[in-house]
Amino acid sequence: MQKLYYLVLLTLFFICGNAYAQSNVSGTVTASDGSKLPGVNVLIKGSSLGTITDMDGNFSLSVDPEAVLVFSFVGFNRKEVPVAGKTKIDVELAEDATELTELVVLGSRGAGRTKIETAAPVDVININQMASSMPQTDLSQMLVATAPSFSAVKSQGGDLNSHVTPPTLRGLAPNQMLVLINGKRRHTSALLNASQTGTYANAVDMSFIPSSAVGRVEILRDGAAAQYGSDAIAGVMNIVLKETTGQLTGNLTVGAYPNIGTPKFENNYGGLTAGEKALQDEVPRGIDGESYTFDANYGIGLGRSGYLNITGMLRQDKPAIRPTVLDYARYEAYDGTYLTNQRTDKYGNPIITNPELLIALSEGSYKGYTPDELSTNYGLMQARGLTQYDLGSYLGQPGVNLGAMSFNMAVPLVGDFEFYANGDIGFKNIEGFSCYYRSPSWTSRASAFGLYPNGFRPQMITTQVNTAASVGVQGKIGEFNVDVSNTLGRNAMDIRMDHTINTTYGDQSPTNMYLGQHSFLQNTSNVDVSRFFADALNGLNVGFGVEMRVENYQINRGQPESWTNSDAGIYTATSTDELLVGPDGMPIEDQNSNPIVDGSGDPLVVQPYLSKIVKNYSQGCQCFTGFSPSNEANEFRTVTGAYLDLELDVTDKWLVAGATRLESYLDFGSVLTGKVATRYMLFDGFSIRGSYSTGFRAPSLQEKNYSHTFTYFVNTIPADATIYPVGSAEARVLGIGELKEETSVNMSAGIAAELFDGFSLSVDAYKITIENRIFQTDPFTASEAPALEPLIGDGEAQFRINGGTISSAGLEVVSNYKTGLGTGMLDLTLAATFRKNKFEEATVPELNTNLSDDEIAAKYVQRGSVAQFETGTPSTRIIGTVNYKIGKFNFMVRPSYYGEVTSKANNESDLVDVSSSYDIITGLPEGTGEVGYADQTYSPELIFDLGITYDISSNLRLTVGGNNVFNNLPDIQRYELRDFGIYSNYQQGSGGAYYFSRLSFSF
Amino acid sequence: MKIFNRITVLIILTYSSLAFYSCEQERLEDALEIADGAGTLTSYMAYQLDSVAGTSDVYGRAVFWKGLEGYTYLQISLNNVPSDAVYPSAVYAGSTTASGSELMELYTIENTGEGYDFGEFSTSKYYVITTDGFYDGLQTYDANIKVMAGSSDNTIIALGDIGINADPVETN
Repeated sequence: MQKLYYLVLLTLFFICGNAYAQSNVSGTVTASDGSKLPGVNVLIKGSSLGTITDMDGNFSLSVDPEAVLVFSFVGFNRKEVPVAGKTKIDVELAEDATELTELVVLGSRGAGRTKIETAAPVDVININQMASSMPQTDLSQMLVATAPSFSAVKSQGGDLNSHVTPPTLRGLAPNQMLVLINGKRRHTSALLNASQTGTYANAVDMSFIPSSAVGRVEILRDGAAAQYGSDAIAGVMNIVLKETTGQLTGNLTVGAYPNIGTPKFENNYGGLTAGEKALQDEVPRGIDGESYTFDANYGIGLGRSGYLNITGMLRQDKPAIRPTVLDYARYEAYDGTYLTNQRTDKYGNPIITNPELLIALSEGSYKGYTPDELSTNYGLMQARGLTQYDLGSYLGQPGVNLGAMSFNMAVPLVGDFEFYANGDIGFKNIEGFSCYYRSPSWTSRASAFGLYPNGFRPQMITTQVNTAASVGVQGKIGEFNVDVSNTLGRNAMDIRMDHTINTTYGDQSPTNMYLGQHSFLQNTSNVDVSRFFADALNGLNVGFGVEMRVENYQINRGQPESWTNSDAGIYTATSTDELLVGPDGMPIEDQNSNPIVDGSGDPLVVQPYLSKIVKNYSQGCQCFTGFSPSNEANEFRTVTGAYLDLELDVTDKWLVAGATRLESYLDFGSVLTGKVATRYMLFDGFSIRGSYSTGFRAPSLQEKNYSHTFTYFVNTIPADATIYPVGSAEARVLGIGELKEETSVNMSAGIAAELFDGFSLSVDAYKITIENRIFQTDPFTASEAPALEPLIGDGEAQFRINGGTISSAGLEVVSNYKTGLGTGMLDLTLAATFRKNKFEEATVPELNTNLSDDEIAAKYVQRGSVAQFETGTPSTRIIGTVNYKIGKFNFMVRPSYYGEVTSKANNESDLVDVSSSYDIITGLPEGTGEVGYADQTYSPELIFDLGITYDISSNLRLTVGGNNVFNNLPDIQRYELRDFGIYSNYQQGSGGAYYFSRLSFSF
Repeated sequence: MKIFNRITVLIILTYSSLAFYSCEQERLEDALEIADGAGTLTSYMAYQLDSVAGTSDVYGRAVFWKGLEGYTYLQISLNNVPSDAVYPSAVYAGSTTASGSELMELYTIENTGEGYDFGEFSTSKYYVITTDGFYDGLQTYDANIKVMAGSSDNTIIALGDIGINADPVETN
C-alpha cells in the first residue's frame, strides 16, 4: 500500500515538473450573466487534446496558432473560437437549458446522437462535474445516487459478500449488465458472489475504477446483446475516461458515520424484544466507519493532438459494525458442559473450562460471584467482564484499503490513425464480517479451548489485484472507419481467514489460514469497421466487426489445514481389544459430553487398525472451508463473434436501426441474436422510440466451475453443504445437465422530449423476459436422492441449474429543468423507476430423486431466492436532485426514495410474540402458537444527501455534506430473521448518517 | 506552474499522506478473559473404588488430577448409579480398614449418565483441593474414600484406599 502511494506521489510530481514546457493560450469562460464557469471543456478542434476551466473559469492550453478552440459545457451552447495567433481568449457561453445536445455513442456504431435522437434510453451521468458535491467517492455508489435503474448493494457481510459490490441494472443480475470502458468489454471479478437479485453472479468490481478518472458514464437501458454480445441483457454501461490535459486536479475526502444515540429499531413486526432492547445498550455508539479518500488526476499533451491522462486513488474505510445482539438464551455462549467442566479431550482427560467455578467452590466466591452464579451462562459472562455483544456476531461495513491507478491515452499516428490505450491496476484488501460468532456452546465448531476460551469470531480477508489494459489503433481507410483493439483484464483474489481454527486440529490449529485463490482472466480482441453512406436516404451507417475472446478461470487450493481433517477428535487404540474408556474408567465422551457406548451401555472395544471418531468436529476452516484439490479448477474458454449493425435515417425525423450478432462458444455452441429499433421525431424536440431485441448471457466460467463446501444456518443451527460444479459426478448422478445460456427477449418503447425551454423529459417502458435463468438449488440429501449416497454420504449437495423463466417490466422517467434563478443557476432533476420483477415458472427436468415434482420445483428454486428477485430490492426508486450554483457557492440536495421491499423465508418456523414478557437473562419470548413463513415487508424509506461547496480560491474548493443526513435507518429484521444481521440491506444501507468534507484542488 | 502552486500541491499531498499513514486497519481482538487454571489436565493418579459386597454393586474410580494452577482436582466416577441416587462421599484418614476421621467432605454423587447408570459429583465434576503440593504428596497421603448410601443413611456402598494405602490403578 505504501509503495503504491509513493508511486502516485512520484508520478504526480513528475507530471508537475514536466507539464509546462509549452506556451499557452489562456482566458476566462463566463456565462451570459458574467459569472465565471468552472469545468468547461476546452478542446482543440479535430483532436482530443484539451483542458477544462478551473474554479474561476480560467483555462490555459498549449495550442497551434492556427487551431480552433471548442468550448462546451452542460447547459450551455457549444462555441468555437479560432486562435488566430492570440494568446488570450475570453469566451462567453450562452445558456442552452437542456442537456439533450450532448452526444452519446453507446448503443450506436455511428458518430453519436443526442439523447433525444437515440432509439433507446441512454443516461449520461457526468461524473466529472458531479463528483465534487457528492458524498460518495466510489463510482458504483455515485451511480446508485443518481440513476434509479442502477443498483449496487453494499453487503454487510456473510462469507465474501462484502468483498465485491455487484452492480445491477433494472433489478436483474450483475452479470446481466455489460460494462465497457471506453467502449471495450470490462472483465468481471473472479469471485462468484451473492447478489441482491437472489442469485450468485460474477460481477464487475467497479471499485477499481477511480471515479476521478471518469469523465462520464453512459447507461444504455436496453437489451444490446446483438450489438455487444453476451451479458447485455438488462443494458450496457459505458465508462468514458477523461482526456483532459494541462490540469492537475484532486480531492481529499474525509468522512465518517456519527453513529450517535440508540436507534429506534423499528419494524412492522413489533421491533426488538425486551431483552434485545436492554442488550443494545451494550453496543458501543460513536463515530465509526471513518473513510479517507485521496485522488489526483493529471493529463499531459502528447504530440500535436495526443494526450496522456493519469489518475491515482487511495481509499481507506474503517469498519462500521451494526450488530444484532440476541437474547442470552437464544445465543448462548456457555452450555451446561462448559459451565460444569464436563468436557474432556479424546483420551478422556478433563478440560477445565470454568476455573472460576472451581475457585469459587473452594474459596466461597470468585470476584464476588458465588458458585451458583458462576454455574450460569449469565453469571460466568459477568465474572469474566464479557457482554453478549462481545460474544455476538457482527455485520456492517468492512475495513477496506484500496489503491488504484489508471491511465487513458491517445497518440496520433500517420494519416487519420491514432494509437490509443487505457488501463488500470488496483489493489484492494478487505477485512469483512463473515461469520456467526463461534461460541463455546458450539461444541463441534469451537472446541479449541486453549486458543479461544470464549469462542471466536472468524473474519474473512481478501487481497485482490486487478489489472486491465486496452490498446488499439483507429482511423480511416478510405471511407471506412477502422478500429482494431485488444483488451486484457485479470482479477485475482487471495482469500484468508483470521481469528479462526480448524477444530479437527484442536489447540494445534493455525488461527490464520490461507484458503486459496480465485482468478479470472479475459482477453478480448476486436476489429470494428463502419462506414457512413450519406446518399442512402438521409444517411446510412453500416457497422460490422469480429471479436475473439479468451477466458480463463482458476481456483487454487489453500493451505492444507484449511481443508483437511486432523485427529483432535480421533482415537486410535494402542493395543488390541482396547476398551474406549478414560482415566476415570468410564466411556470416553463425544463432543457433547455424551458417553460413547454400545447398545448395552458398555464402553466400545476398539482396535489399533481402526481409528474411532470420538469427537465429531466440523471439518475444515471455520467458517469458510479452504479450497481443496477437489475444488481446484483451471478452465479456458474461447468465444468468437461477428456482428452487423445498420442505422438508417429514413428521413430527417425517422431513424431505423437493426443489428445481428453470432457468437460461438467453445464449451456450449453458438447463439444468434438480433435487434431492431426505431425513433421518430414527431416534432422538433419530441421523439418517440422503441426497440425489440433478443439477447443472451452465456454461463460464466465461474458459474460452471465454482465448487465449495460451506456452512449454512437454520435458526442459528449450522449445517454443511457442498456446491458441486455442473459436469461433476454428483450432478450427473442426480440428472442435472450442463448449464445452457440464458436467453432474453427485450421490448421497450418511450418518448424523449424537450417540452419547453429548459425542461427535458424521457419516459420509457420496457419488458425483459429471460428463459433458462441460472439459479442455485436448495441442498439435496442422500435420503432425497439415494443415488447420491455413495458420493455425498450424509452430506448435502447443491447445484447451479437453469432454473426457470423470469421477467422484469417497468417504467422509467427522467426529467430535468435548468433555469437561471437570481444570479445563480438552478438545476432540477427528477428520475424514477417503477418495476415489477416476476419469476414466471420453474423448469424442472427429470431428476433421480424420490421427491414429487412440486417438491423438486420448490427445492430447485428456493422460495427466498424467488422473493429476493421479485421483491427483494425496491421496485420503486425516485431520485430528485436540486443543484443551485451562485457565486462561489454550490448547493446540492438530493432526496432519494426507496420503495418497500419484501423478503420471504425458505422454510416455515414457529412465529414469535416479541411483546411477550419473559426473564431476559434466562428466558425467551413466547411463541404466537403459529407456524408459518417469517416473511417481512420493509417500509419505504426516504433519505437526503447534501453537499455545499465553496470556492476558496481559483485553486481550492471545500465541500461539506453528507449521505442520509437525517440518519434514517431502515426497518430492522423481524425476530425470526434477526439471527445474524439486524437491518435490511436492500434500501439505504445500515450505516445511518454519513458526513464528509472534501478539499478539492485544481491547478 | 507558479512556485506558489507547487508548494500548495506539496502541502496538500503531504496532508493527505499523513491522513493515510495514521489509519492502519485495526483488527478486532479475541475475548480471552478467563481465570487461571483453565485448560486440559493430563497428570493424574486413579484409584479403584470397590463396591461393598452384599450392600451394593456401585464401583468406579477416584481420580486425582494435577491442576494447572497448583490445585488438585478430585473426580469420582461410579458405575451402577440409579437415576434417583444421591450419594454423599468423603475422604477419611487411614486405610479403609481403619476408622479414621473425616478429612474432607466431598460433593454428593448423582447419576449424570444421560440415560446410562454413570454417576459423578453433581455440584461440580471436580472437587477442588487447594492445599499446596497435595498432588505431589498424594502417594504419601494416608487416607481412603468412602461413598455412602444417602444423607441420612451412612451405609457404605463403595470405598477404596488412596495415597500411601494403595497403588494407583492408572497414572500419567
